[in-house]
Amino acid sequence: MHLQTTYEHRKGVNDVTCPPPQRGRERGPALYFDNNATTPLLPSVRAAMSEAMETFGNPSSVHFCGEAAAALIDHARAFVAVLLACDPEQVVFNSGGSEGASSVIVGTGLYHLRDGGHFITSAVEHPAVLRACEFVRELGFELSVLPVDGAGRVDPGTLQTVLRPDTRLVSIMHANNETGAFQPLYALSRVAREAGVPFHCDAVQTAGKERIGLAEGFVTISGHKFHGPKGVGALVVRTDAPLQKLIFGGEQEHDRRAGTENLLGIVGLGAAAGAARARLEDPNEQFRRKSIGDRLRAGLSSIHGAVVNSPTEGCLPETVNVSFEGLRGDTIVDVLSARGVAVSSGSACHSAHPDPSHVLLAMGLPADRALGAVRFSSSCLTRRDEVDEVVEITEQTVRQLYATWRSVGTA
Amino acid sequence: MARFSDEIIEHFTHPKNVGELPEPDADASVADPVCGDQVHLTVRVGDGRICEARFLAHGCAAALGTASIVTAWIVGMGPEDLARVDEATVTQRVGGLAPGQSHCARLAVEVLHALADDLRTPQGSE
Repeated sequence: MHLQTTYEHRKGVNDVTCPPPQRGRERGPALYFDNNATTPLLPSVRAAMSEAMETFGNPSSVHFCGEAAAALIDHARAFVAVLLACDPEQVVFNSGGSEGASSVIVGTGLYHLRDGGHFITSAVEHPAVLRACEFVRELGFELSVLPVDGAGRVDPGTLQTVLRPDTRLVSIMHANNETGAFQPLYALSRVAREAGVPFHCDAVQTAGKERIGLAEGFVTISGHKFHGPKGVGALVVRTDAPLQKLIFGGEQEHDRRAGTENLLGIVGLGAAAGAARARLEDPNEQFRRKSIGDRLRAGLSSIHGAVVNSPTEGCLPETVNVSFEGLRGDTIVDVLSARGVAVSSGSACHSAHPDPSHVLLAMGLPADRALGAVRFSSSCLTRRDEVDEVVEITEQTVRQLYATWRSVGTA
Repeated sequence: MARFSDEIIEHFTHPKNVGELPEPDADASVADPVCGDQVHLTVRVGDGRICEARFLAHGCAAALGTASIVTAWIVGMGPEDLARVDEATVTQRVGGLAPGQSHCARLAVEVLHALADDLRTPQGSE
C-alpha cells in the first residue's frame, strides 16, 4: 500500500469537495470558510482510503487477510504517533473527539465511582467535554469549572488553587474551536502533573496544525478536522492513570476499546496525519498559513462595525471570530450561505430564540456582541484570492444588513 | 424541508423597499419579545389603498425576507385587506416557513394589523 506523506496543492479543492449551493448562489464557486467544523478530504487521503477498500480482512483474524488489514492499521498508527510525538502503542483509535473526551472523562469517573472525587474543566470547553463533565457530576462527583479571562484563557494559578487531593482529572482544551485562543497548555499540564492529577487535552482543533508534545496525560484528536475522514479519531494515552473502558467485547486497541476497527477511517486518519506532519515541517507552509490568517483577520476587521473576538496573540491563525455591532451572527451566516460562502455562528436560533455562545459569554462579552459573532476558519487549502473574495462578500452583506435597520446607521 | 424558500432567499439577499418613507400616511412597528426580531413599516396611501411601502427590520434572515416580501405584497391593499391577513396566508405567500420560523409570519401579521389600525385612525386624533 502506498501512503502519501506529502500534502497536496490547493488546486480546486472547493470545486471538487464542496459543490456550490443549488439555490441562491450569486457568484463563483463556493467559498468554504468553516474548516473548524470540518475539512475536506485531501486527495492523498482519499487515494489511501480507496486503495484500502481492497483490503477487507478483519484485523483481528490470524490468517493472511487479517494480517493485511492489521498491517494497514499499524501503518496508520505509526503516522499518528509521529504526528503526536508519542509511541504507537499509546495511540487508541476511536470514532472521534466526542468519544475521546467521553472515554477519558466518563471512563475516569466510572473507575473512581466508589471513591468519588473531583473533576476540573474550563468554561470554554467544547460541549463534548462539558456534557461529559456534567454527566460525572450527576454520578456524584464534584466539578469545578474554571473561569477564563477576556482572551478566553485559564490562569494556571487558578487551577493551582482549585486542585484537591481527590481531584481525579483536569480536562482543558489546547485551542478553542470558536475563537482559536490557545490555552497555556504546558503551564496548566505542569500544574496538574505536579499535583499528581491526570491531565486531558482536547486537541481536536490543533491536531494537524500545531505540534502537540504533552509529556504525560491524555490527548484527544479527530480526523476530519485536519483533512481526514469523519467518524474516526484517536486518544493518546501517555499516563498510567486508570480508565474504565466504555466499549466491551474484544481486546482491540490494547484492550482499551473493543470493536472491529474502522479500517478505512483509520487508514484515512493515518494518511491525514502523515500529510499534516509534512506541513508542520515545511517552513513555507507555516509562513503561508500565518499569512492567510493575517490577511483574513485584517480584511474582516476593516469592515464597518466589525469587532474581532479572537485574541491578537496566542491564537490559531486559521480562526477569526468577529462580531458585527448590532447585527445577528446567525443572520449573517444565512445570507452568506445564500451567496455561496460557508461560515458558522457560535449562536443558534432554536425555536426562534437565539442563544449566544457560551465561550464568548465566558470571556465577558455582552450578549448582544456574542449574538453578533461569526466564525471564519481557513485551512491549508485556503487560497489568498478566496480570502479576498470572502472579505468582499462579507463587507457587502454587512452593509446590506445595516441598511435594513435604522438603529445601526447607514454605513 | 429546506430552511428557506427560494422566495425568502431572494428577498433576504436582495431586499426590496428598504428604508423609511418621509412623512408616511401610516406606519407600524412590532417586536417579538422572545427572539428580538423587529419590523417597522411605513406606507403611502392613494384612493384608500397602499401605493408605496418601505420596511426596516432587524432579526433572522427569514424575518428580513418576510418583511421585504410583505412590502411588495401589500401594495394595492386597503385597511380591511390588511386586517384580514393571517399567519397561514403569510406563510403561503413567502413560500413556506421552516419549523422555528413561524414567528416571522406572526410578526408580519402583527405589523400589518397595526398598520390597518393606524390607517383607520383619523389623522390628528393621535
